[in-house]
This record gives sequence, structure tokens and C-alpha cells, in this order.
Amino acid sequence: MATIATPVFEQEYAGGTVARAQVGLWRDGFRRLRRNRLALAALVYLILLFLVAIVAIFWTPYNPATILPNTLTYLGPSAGHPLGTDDLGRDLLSRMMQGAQISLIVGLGTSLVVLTIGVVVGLIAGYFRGWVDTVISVFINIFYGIPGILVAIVLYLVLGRGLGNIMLAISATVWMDMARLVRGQAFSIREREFIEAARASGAKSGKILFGHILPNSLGPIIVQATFVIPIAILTEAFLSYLGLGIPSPLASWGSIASEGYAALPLEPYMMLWPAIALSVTLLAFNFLGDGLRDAFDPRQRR
Amino acid sequence: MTDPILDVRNLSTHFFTDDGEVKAVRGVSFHVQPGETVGIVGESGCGKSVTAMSVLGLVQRPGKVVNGEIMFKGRDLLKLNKEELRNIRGRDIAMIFQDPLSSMNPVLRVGYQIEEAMHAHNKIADAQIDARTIDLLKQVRVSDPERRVKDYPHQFSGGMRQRAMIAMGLSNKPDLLIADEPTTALDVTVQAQILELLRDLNEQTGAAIVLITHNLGVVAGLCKRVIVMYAGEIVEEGTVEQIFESPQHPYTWSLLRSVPRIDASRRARLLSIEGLPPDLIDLPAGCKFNPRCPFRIERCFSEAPLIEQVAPMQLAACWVTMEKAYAEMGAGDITDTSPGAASGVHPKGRQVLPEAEVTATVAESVGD
Repeated sequence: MATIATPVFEQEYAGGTVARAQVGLWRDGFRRLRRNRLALAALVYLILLFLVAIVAIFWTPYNPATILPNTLTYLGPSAGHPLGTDDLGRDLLSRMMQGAQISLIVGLGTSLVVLTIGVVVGLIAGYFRGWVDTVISVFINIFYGIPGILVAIVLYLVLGRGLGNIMLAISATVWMDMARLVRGQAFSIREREFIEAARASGAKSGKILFGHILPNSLGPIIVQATFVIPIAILTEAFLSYLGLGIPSPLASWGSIASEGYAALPLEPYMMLWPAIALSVTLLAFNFLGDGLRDAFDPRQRR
Repeated sequence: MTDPILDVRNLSTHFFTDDGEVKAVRGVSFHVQPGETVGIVGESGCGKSVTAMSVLGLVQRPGKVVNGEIMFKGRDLLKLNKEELRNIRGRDIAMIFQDPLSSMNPVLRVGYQIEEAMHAHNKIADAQIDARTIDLLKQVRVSDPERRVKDYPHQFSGGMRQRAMIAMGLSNKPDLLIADEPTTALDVTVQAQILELLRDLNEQTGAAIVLITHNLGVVAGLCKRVIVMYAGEIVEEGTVEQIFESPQHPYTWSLLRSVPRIDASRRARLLSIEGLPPDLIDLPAGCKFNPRCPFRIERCFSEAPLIEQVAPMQLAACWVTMEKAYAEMGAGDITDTSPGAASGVHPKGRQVLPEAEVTATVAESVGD
């Protein structure tokens, strides 16, 4: 009897441990995140940035697009204009606030597009396997093979200028990582017994995909989505710097930097502000992403 | 006799692996009457679970049902399309799995998972689903079901999880419940409770139960009829009394002798079955049990016995049925169960005995 009882016991115990890790994931993860000071500081900064972007919807010191009358161009920081004015005499603080708005919209929007494409494509490839997976994987590899910036530029020129199109163009260069991640998750989760049980109880494929496999891989998906944000912000700034981004007179950190570059010997401030804003924001998103990964990666759990 | 609710005819399921074709289930035929409790027993890898999966159409690549008919309420399940089959799974035929922890989604609430099984089919009206979930949990004796529906699977104990799985299985009032090793992952006291629950539910709901297990004690506690499988084939079938009191296949006999009994004398030794089940890719000729059978005779090596009626309600596939073995070889007293011991066919190979002698032995033991 003892020989029978022992393995049963172990099995139960092992099973229990795994389940606890699974369900306590969220609370556990956030507790770990709170202990990570760098990630926490990044989170605080990002919340502030969000507030700035929201305030910019309703109020900026001046209209960011208006060339102010009786104002010097390339004005350094001064009482009326804390960050100075640009080459046309527009208020830089107002333009930087609008730039924050654009950056966050592009970052989050791209992340959302990537999330949607990556999750759907990845789930389908990982769940149905076979020729579907082969076709999708080949497609993913083709996209990996072409330089991302090239894809973004060509696609953006084809689609036409605009905030929505810039997000689509950037998404086309970064969706593959998400699709691969989700595919791998679906591959392993589909073999778990509760998927078989769901199938045995007559659940439809769509329900199994989005009701069972997706909720079980949400942790790594969210982490990946966080890493997409800084890449998208950087790519947008880069495109705007090249003059291919946000159509003027809308301000983007990239376009401000581009305009500032021309006046670098004359007035370095105009280049400095967007450079600082971009660096700190990208750093913050990366710190937060790292923190989330450390907090939610089951392999690093102690 | 009423029409069987499930009638499996000549089912064969093979797995096409890189190493070769694994013939996991070969020519299996059995039937289940409405409301009946049938046990399928056999050691690991004998094809019990694959048979169940074939019935539900859940065999996945590289496996494939290569032959046979699965008649359920007059329809051949193998001829249905995916959607028709999905509609039967969980609605008319429900399945309970071995490990209740891994068969529940860890991130979804228990109540939600039970409701989901009902939402998948439109058998229960949406308005009744919430109330029925609680009723079902009450029926499977989960205490405080109103609160428990909001728990996650890890907050349930092993026994409660299996109860919840049973509730899920019963939620759409199925005609047939297939329980694949439902008690294996549970400790002994909980096992007994689950079996009692299944027995009561069988009486209350009238759902037929097919219980798949390697545990003969579990079968004795729940089933009226028993099917014994070995190496992908049915070797014996009969009522639970027949199987336990007069097994007609040496494998069944060996299986029974390997189970401890509280009423057996202290000196009676537990006998293990020597050897291993055959390789399902490269099967031996003749009877598949011949390498391990204490009663084997010359014929067992060349010809596979077909399953035949040996008593009312009882079928067995053996050239030397146990009844004859009892009478002519004294099976009751056999303590040496090594292959070939009882019938004189030597384990090392048949050539050891002179040919004339072997023929004589065969003639004596089989009769005609």
C-alpha cells in the first residue's frame, strides 16, 4: 500500500505547487515589482509623463503650432518661455508637451496593434500547427530578413502620412517578436491536460484559443508589449527626424530635434530638450519592462 | 435487450511515429447499455485511454482511427464532421480525466469553468446556468457551493477538484460518462468517496459510466460488467462476478493474483506477471500474451485466438481457457507463474522439448 501511496502524494504536492505559482502570479509579480526601485522610479516618471500628455490635450502655455508675434526665434530659456522658442518663434515647452502626447500615443498605439496582430497570428500558428504554422513562420522569417526601418519607411510612404499610419508602419517592423512569443506559448499550453479536457467538453477552437490559452500566457505577453513601446517611440522619432514622421505643424520629439539640429551651433537648447526627453522616456520604459520581466518570469522565481 | 447506447465495432487506432506504426488499439469491439456501468481494465499502455479518446474523436496526430465503427445512439461517430462531433462531446458523452488539477484551467474560477461547459452547448437554458452550477456542486457534495464557485482550482483539494470535474461532466446531462482513471491521482479514502459518488450519480441521473482503470478494486466497487484489455485487444469480457470468480483468460487470472486481498491467507504470495507487454510496433505472432503466459501451448505461438463466448455473458480470447486449465493443469494450485510453466512449453524456446513430446503435451491439454 505504501508503495502506491507515495507517488500519489508526490504528484499532489507537485501539482499544488505549480498551481499556486500560476494563480498567485499577479499578486506575486506586483509585490516583486514594488521591491524593484529602478522599475518603480521608471513607473513614477511615466505616470508624470502621462499626466503631462493629458494636460496637453486641454492646455499648453501657448498654441504649439502658432508662430508667436513679436517673439524672437531661437530664444533660450527665459521667463515667458521656460524652454525657449524654435526656429519660427514657437514656444518650445508647448511643442515638447505635444511631442510627449504624440510619443505616448505612437508607443501605446503601436503596442496595441502589435499585441493584436501578434496574439492572433501566434495563437493560430501555435494551436493549429501543421501547414498553417509553416506558412506563418516563413512569413515571420521574411519580415525578420528585411531591415525594419526600410519596411517602415516604404510602408509609411505607401499608406500616406498620418498618426494612424505611422503606428501601422512601425508595427510591421516589430510584430514578429510578439507572434513568435505567443506561438511558443500556444505550442506548450495546447499540450496541457486542461486543453484536452476543454476539447472533451465540446469547447470550440476559438474558445480554447482565447478563453484558455491566452489567459495562461498573459504574463509574458504583457512584458513583451511593454518592450514594444520604447522601440515604437524611438522609431517614430527617427522617422520624424528624417522628416518622414508626423506631418507639421504637429510637433514630435523627433521633428523638434531635427529642426534643432540645423541650429546646433547657434542654439543647442532646441536639440537638447527632445534628446533628454527621449533618452529618459526610453530608459524608463526599458526599466519598467525589465522590472516586469523579472517580476513575471517564472524561471527567475525564488 | 435494449439497444446499446454505445456500440464500438472492430475499432483500430494506430499511431504513425518515426519508429513505425504503433498499433495501440486493434479490432476492439464492445457495447454499453443505457445506464450501465462498464469497467475497462488493463495495465499501462494496453490501449484503454486510446480507446476512450477514439470514441470522443480526440485522438491527435500522429494517431489515427484506421478502422471500425463507433455507433452512438444509432450514429457512427467516425462519420460525423468536426462540428457534429463537437456537439456530442460534453453534451451527450462527457469525460473525466485522471488528474483533476491539470485538467482544470489554473487561471479561471471553478464556477466559471463549469458554466463554460454548459455555455458550449445550448442544452441548458442560459437563465438556469448559474443556479445549476451551484446545484451540481451540491450534487457532487462540495460544501458551501455558493462561495466555492468563486474559488480557483488551486484553492480546492484534490478530491474536491475531481468532484468539480464530475460536476462539469454531468452539467449537460450526458447519456454516457467516460471516466479515465478518475481516482488514480487521489488518496485512498478520497478514492472511495469518489467511487461512491459516481455510483450514486449513475443511479440518480441514469447516465451510463465507462470506467477506465488499472485498479481491479475500483472496478469491483463500481462496475457491473468488466472488459479486460491487453496489448491493444480485448482479451476477456464478462460480469464483475465472472471476471473475479472464474476468469477465463490467463492474463485476467494473473492480474487477479497480483492484487492483494484482505481475505487471502497470509502465506499466499502476490504474484507479479513476468516480462513486459509486447512492443506495439512489432507484435509477436499468435496470442499477444504468449511470451508471459504460464499456460501457453504450441498453438499460441502461431495463431491468434479470437474472442469467443465461454459462458453466458462471458467472452475470452484464449486457446487454453482457464476453465480447462483449472481442470487439466490445476491452475488453482499454481505457484510458479513463469512463462510456460504450467503447460510445459519451455520459456527459452519451444525447440528444447523434442517435437513429438510437445505435440503430445498440446494434445493432452487442449483435447481436440
